[in-house]
Amino acid sequence: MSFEEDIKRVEEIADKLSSSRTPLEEAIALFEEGMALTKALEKTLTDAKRKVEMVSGDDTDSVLITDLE
Amino acid sequence: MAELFEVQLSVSELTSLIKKTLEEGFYGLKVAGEISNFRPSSTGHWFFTLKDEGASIGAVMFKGSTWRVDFSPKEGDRVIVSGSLDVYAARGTYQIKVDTMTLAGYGEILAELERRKRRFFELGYFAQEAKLPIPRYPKRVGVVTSPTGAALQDILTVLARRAPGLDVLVLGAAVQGESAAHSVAARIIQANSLLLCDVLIVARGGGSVEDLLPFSDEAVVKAIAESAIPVVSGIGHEVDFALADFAADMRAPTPSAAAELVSASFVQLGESLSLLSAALRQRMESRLTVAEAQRARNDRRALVVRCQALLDSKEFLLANAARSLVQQVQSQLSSAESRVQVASQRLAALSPLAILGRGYAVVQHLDGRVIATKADVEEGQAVDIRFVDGKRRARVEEDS
Repeated sequence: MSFEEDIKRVEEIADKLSSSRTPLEEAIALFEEGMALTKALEKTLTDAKRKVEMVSGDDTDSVLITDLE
Repeated sequence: MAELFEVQLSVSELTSLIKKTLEEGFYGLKVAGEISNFRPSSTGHWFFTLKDEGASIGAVMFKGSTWRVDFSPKEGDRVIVSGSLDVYAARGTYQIKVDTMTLAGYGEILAELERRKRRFFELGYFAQEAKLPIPRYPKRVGVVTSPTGAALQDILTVLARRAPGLDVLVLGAAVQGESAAHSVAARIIQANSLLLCDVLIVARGGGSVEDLLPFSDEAVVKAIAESAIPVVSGIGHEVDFALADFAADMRAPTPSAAAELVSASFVQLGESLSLLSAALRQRMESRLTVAEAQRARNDRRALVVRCQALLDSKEFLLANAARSLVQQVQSQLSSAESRVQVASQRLAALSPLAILGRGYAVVQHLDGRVIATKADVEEGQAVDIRFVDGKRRARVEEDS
């Protein structure tokens, strides 16, 4: 799932949590799902290790990519 | 040869005459030349030599004027200076005291840029409606710049801090010299034809107007305008501009700013994430508070209290009912009593004894038959007269 879809899901969960029509068992399951999603998202944001690569060669039709970092 | 002066002159007098002649005769000068032997002093003044193929002249530019120069002069720069002649008596030298200095050809460059800008505008390279939105969460950002320049380091540093998970693809290009425009344009086209990234930064560190010229070249401007990958430009410093900026989908004032722009959503995401998880927690808490209140209503002690209340109310009803039952029985009883009373009174009223009580008497034959009329009895016949308290015997006499 993409960042945006995940965020949307968390927002949806927050909405459902504030509705008293959501049964408690469901609310707890939703809460757990929401917290897991935000944790995963935060982790992706802060812990993720990027890849820095460089295109070498001047041929514009093919590409040779080497690691830079 | 006739002598100019009758009198003998001292060196100072001669120098003073030369100084007067030169300084009063040569002012408001505009001189074109090449800078050589450029020596900025620690006090902020600039000393250098202006030269061309055949001659050279010393030049000085004082601190009060240098701050207005919008480039850093260096060896070999072709410049146009304005100023006046200045004679330094102690050394017997003359030099140009420079008031303003511009790069030679600067005016032509600006005019050429202006012409190109109009042409590119007409060609639709700057069309607002063709601008692409910058993706909020790109997965890989392509950077077209010099692989050895400070701009790339700035960009990598900013991205590492703000979006550590964002992959970077460096598309190294020459950013100055003859081949620069072609090199930059080729990288932009390459990124597009191979779809190497989802956003492109086209960047270059600061430099002179000439240094930035490749980024105003049609090849680069066209490649940016036609790029299907959104392009953010970050060329030079804040004050610099290149025509690539107008073609880019978004313009950033510097390479670092371009990197900040590309990573903006990640920073916002971090902020909105902590807000969201706080909201989740707070909503769950209030939801649990509600559930706890519901549970509390059902726990044992509360149940006892509720049952007691229920019992109390039933007991009250029962007590009420019992009382009204007694009342009803009582009232029924008392009405029966009164009916008995009434009946016995009526009975008493009907009893002949009651009539006897009021002074009447009953006359009977001795056998008990009641003598109701005169004809029922004959003269001399014995009768019984019954009073209320008993009877007497009597004899009937002649009727009167």
